[in-house]
Amino acid sequence: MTENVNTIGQAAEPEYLLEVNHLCKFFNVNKSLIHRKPVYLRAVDDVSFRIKAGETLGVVGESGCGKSTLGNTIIRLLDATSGQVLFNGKDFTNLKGTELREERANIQMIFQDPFSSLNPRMKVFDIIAEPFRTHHICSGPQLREEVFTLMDEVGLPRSSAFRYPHEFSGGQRQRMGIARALALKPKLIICDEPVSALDVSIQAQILNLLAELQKKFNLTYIFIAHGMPTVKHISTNVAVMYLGRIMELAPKKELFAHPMHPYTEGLLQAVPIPDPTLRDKENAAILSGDVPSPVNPPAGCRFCTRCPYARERCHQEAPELISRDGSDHLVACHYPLENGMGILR
Amino acid sequence: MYENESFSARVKAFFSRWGRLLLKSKTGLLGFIIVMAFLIIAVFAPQLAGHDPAALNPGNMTTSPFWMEGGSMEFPLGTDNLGRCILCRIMYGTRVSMLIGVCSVIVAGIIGTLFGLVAGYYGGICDSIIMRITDAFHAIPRTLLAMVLISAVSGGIPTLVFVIGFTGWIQYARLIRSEVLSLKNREFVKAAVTIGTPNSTIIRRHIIPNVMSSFIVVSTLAVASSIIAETSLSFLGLGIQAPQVSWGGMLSDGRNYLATHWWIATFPGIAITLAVLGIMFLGNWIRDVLDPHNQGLQ
Repeated sequence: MTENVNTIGQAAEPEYLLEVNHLCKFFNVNKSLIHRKPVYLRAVDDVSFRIKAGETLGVVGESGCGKSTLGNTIIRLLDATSGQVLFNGKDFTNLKGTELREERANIQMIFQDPFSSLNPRMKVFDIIAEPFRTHHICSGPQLREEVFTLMDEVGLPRSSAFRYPHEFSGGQRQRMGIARALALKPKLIICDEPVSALDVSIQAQILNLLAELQKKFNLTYIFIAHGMPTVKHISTNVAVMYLGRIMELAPKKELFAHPMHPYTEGLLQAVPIPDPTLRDKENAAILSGDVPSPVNPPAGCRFCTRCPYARERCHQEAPELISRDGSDHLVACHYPLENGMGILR
Repeated sequence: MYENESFSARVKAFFSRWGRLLLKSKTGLLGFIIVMAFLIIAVFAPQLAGHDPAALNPGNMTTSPFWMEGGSMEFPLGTDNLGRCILCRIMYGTRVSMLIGVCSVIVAGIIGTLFGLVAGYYGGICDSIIMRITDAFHAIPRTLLAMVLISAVSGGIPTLVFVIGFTGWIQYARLIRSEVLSLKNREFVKAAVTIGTPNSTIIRRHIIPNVMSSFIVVSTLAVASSIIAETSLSFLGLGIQAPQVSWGGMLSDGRNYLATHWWIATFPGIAITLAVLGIMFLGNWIRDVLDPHNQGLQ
């Protein structure tokens, strides 16, 4: 990414809030008692990126490309197989016990399904108060005040505090999840497809709320989504994932204007265009076929089985995620699309 | 309103709320009345019973119930083959049967829930070991194990409670484990982890409240099956020894006279059925009340 960063007055602060270096998460899928040789599913395979405070990294990709696993591994819901997560310059991957529990306050998560992310047997007040109680931050009237302030912040009526979550709609439940994530005043929030379970009309409200909160509290987001439009709305940079690897990583505008990886182009073309006259019929559906199994990924470039431009070299040699022209537009492709080339607009 | 209430005010609010809820549910109220009735009978058996349950009445052997020919109000439900008052014996039997039913379920519930929670939540090697133990227990017939234990130790209520509880914990362990496995992957548990909530608190705050409804359903069924287990052990002569009385013992006493003097076995049978029914009604009602989805009950 950009090297010409203004560091005046921030000498003590590391340049990046979060640095992910060569993070891998493999799952052993061989459960057989007799054949003990492990067979690995490479859910996240050598992923590296960096985020500055206040930015949003959008992570997109089809189902099963490892984007949720990436989020869960960063936040330590899963333990990384190898690699390193530096938060504020501090290694977060190897923290243990009390230290880990305290450091967790800095990284919080907003979950996909608002119907399973809230304990059905707890009242809204108790759900939002849980972080305060866990870390013994406050109690009594002060706790009430904190919880009610948070509810105001996310647009929940105070009258809803002593009701159960099942009495509310998906959008409101997602607001409760956001309030809970904000309680510990985290610096980084990982949003794991926070709007994909909601109605389209509600999606925009929640996205706007997230953007507002980001400005207000100077939050940093990792925003995981499976569609391009939501990511376009909120991101600063976008990472495109495929089969556990990042295929392209670029500032949002760059990526949407000049996609360099054929997979990114395919994802962009998969976005439905409401006006039929604007649709490009000739170039429809370059993304055909299914994602290969992550247990046995293709040799060479992972996308080569579905890439319309794949050549000999793509099947043999895996491309690295590098910048082609010294800019902050990284792409993992031997033959990246050039501006205006082939099927691009 | 939420945290500043005095203790006595909260107790009062608790009872008034549950009382109101109880009056709303017909089956719940019925179950509550039946269970309370049996509990009162169990506690005040000596005051309520007109005869000594062990006293033999050679002059009044196999008297019929009062509405039949030859019956009298002195022995309202008749007498058995030794002339003992059946109603009095049922009253005294309530003590033993309820005690064994409830206590053995408590024993089984505590052991089973503990193992189930540990196996399900921590998984891995713990899970494998605990689950293999339950498999082993499954392979041993319950009655056989009970027979061995009872003949090794002596009979009596504590032994029976231990035996029935010790053979009954498996179903709790399996049920709680499977529930915990699915709960563990729910997002609210993950959220608690990311907040930094310690495991013990997660189990207490998020896991246990959500397994309570299955626990209660199984427990009410288990009280019923423990009463029946005591019955079958007494039937085999391994349970309660005379002069103590249990419903199961009465059933087994009456089986030889079923064709000629049906009341000897029938009335303790009805008592078992009623007690089991009452406990199940009450259990179902408690489960419904604990579920926040049941707004109609709130």
